[in-house]
Amino acid sequence: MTQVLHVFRHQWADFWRRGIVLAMALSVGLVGIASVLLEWQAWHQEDATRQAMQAQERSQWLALEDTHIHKAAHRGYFVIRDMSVGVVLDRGVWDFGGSAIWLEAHRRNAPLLRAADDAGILARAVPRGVGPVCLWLVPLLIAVLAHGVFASERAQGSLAFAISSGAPPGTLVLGKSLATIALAWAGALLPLGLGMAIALANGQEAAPTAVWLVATLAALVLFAVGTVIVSALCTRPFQALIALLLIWFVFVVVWPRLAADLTGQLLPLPSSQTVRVEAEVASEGLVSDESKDLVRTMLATKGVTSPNSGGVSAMAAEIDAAAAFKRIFAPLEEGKQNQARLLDVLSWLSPIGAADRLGDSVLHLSDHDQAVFEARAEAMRFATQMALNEGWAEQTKSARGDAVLWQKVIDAADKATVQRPPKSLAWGGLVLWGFISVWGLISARSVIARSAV
Amino acid sequence: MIAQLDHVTKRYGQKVAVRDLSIDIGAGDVVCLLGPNGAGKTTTLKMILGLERPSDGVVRVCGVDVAADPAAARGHMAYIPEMVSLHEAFTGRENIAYFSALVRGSKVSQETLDHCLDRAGLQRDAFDQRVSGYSKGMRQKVGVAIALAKGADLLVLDEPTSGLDPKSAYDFAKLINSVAGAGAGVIMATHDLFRAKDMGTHIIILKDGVAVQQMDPKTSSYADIEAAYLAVFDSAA
Repeated sequence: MTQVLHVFRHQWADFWRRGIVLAMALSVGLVGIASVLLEWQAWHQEDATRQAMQAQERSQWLALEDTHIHKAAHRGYFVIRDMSVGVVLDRGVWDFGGSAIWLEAHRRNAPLLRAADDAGILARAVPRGVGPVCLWLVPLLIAVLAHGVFASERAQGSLAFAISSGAPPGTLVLGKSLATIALAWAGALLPLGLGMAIALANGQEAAPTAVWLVATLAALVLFAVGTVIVSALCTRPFQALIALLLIWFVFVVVWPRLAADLTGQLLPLPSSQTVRVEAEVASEGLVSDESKDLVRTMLATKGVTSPNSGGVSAMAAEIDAAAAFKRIFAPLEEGKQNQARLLDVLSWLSPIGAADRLGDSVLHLSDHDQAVFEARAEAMRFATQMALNEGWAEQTKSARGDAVLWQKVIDAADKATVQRPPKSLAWGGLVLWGFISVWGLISARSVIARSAV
Repeated sequence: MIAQLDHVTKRYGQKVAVRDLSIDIGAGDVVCLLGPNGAGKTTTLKMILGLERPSDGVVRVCGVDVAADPAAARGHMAYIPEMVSLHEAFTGRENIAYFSALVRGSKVSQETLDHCLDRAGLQRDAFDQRVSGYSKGMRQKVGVAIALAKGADLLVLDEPTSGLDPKSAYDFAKLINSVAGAGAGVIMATHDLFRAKDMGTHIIILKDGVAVQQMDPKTSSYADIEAAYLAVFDSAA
């Protein structure tokens, strides 16, 4: 181990003296920090806008005149979810945080949703935020700056001198790998540190962020080790550079995007709009006796012992509609889960893609349509209870804007979206590439051992 | 005996690169291998270094069968190529510290390293200069200093004086004789007949992998060595 550290220190000093550390730190640092700060500013603006809109919605709701129960049931209320500060780490979170949900007792209007996406940061077009900088830019710079870690030494002859003099090849491979990993991490250090600090200070949950961090650092380890292996296998620095740029292009640029497209092609899903229409149609005119009994029981617990029959029917219809929604959405949800599994496995083919996928599984809020519909069904039940509760309109005006009630709706939406099950399959990609890297290092050691005179 | 080649043969398919070669290298010996290109000099050195496995016969260094345990055998050896390639971004001092610790398996004190550089004849003011500015001769000296720091019993030299100016070649010869005088064994592949006579204790002339003549430089004149060497070419023609 002492020998490995000796090689590590020497290689690190070599990176330092040749200005490679500085080039890495400056390139990634400037781009990364600028990216973090820009995203932070954007998050602040967006968050402030949403909060102002929510306050306006609330004040408008409270200012509504008392009216007939049925009309009141058609009055809607936009629930605007907060924007996750996770955008500082990963721009991809933007799509999942903060869709406005239109809630009304009678579901006559389709909820206003943004299209939910289920793809990692690399599957989106422009690298912005810490994540893309770390997983896109750092590997590129590692390829450009460290491709000669063995290949240059071989070309100069110092590798042959060292091996012929009795330097242990395994020690050289491990020491240089550690130094290259340190170089990759050094590049990512500033933007990662700043991004994590901002995110955690602004309420980002620590546990999933830690998993995201580990996945990101692991991806850099894999690419750094891959760089050393390729450099060891190539006889000329130029060959190593070309090979690494090709690997970067395929594994970082092409494959994650292609994997997402392939998943959609292989396991197609109906569009959200189609399913929504289907759900609306399926829920029309549903009034079961069972639900009516349930409504009467619910109202009785609230002291309403003789509700009007129309109200009970309407409320029962909402409950049945919610159940119909769940039935309609169950296959869609299953299809999404199958897509997710397939994408996990396809992502295994790229070390960066695997890490990106893992980070995506814990940081992003996804499966948004399903969550929103579940939340809306939940909200409708609450709202229907309120609307049909005799005397509500006259007696409890403030109940229309009951903060506790609406918070329950928002919490339900949050719970359904945030508690996305972790993708255990995504770990498989990192483990697989870990094994491939070890095998590659052993092969590199054999090649280096033959690099003598 | 520091190193021993015992009836060593190396074949590459049908081609025999070295045939039934036996060499003994004792403490203080400087064995010079002479011969035209393709005579088997480099193959012989590679077998000593454990980089090629003999097809027949055994190479032992300090009692270690090189083919059986090349890493252990290399622990007793130092290799100095025609052009000692060092790390250009580092000074002479840093290079010797890196390479000596790497090949020894443990760190060497700075005083010892400086002493080795001194013994190798590197000027003090060059110790802290980057080797990118070193001449070939200075690099050779760092190479020898690394060997000294390693405490190598056997120095394996491949065309060490090729391309050196006469003064540097003379200095290098003196240095190698001094190392041998301190108890190390040296085997050197060279085309430089003059240095072979000057430095060597034994001269072996190879042709097509066979030791066609063994000479004692002390009892052989430069003209004798040259005649024997050229005879190889004549017979080849």
